[in-house]
Amino acid sequence: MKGPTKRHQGKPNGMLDRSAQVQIGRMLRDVFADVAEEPVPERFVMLLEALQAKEQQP
Amino acid sequence: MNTASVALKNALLGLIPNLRAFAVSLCGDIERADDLVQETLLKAWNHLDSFEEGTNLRAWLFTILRNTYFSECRRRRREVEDRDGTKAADLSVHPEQPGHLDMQDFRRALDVLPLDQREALVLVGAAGFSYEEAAEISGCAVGTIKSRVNRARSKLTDLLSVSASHDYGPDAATEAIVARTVSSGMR
Repeated sequence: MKGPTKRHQGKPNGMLDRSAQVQIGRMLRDVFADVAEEPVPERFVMLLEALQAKEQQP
Repeated sequence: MNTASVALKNALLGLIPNLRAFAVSLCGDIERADDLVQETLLKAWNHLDSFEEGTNLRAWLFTILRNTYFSECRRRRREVEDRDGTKAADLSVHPEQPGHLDMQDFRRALDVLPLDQREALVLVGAAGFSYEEAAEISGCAVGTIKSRVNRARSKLTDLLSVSASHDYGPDAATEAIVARTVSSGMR
């Protein structure tokens, strides 16, 4: 991750790698949390209850 | 009342949000992701005897989910063709406003990454697994995970033209104009 060679060619914006990595890390966690913070859909609650009920039958 | 199955049910319930987030990051589609999660839950329930008590249930579920997804991909002959990054070479992401990254831009960029790199990056950077755990989940060497994560980060930086200078540089406005002119000239 060093040197403004090849990778950065043609990019008008200067790039500071460390700050870029911080930004990418934050976005990555945001995108993940966006789904992970949703409530558990009803279908899964029902599925697990059905599996558990089946287990309790002789 | 079977207390073991109650405990398992509750443990699985608690991990579903994480599994869904991981599944979406792999396949990019919430409906398909939920099908993957469902399949994962069924497999986990039916193969509980292969889970080693005291080990990481979350990592075990992630492993089942990604293996399910990868074998589905092999069947469908999709994604796999992209592992060399051919799709990535043709695409780049232009943020709507240079210097400002919104979640949409970022999701698009993630989807452009080769699957193995995206998986490694999400496991380590978002799901909070260690490199060692991620390697175990993906069935590869720790070094391979590290190199995938590095390549993914570097490619994302390129794709997004993430510019740190916009955050505090005095020249942000000028750079934004230049960037806008350049990117509109490319369309």
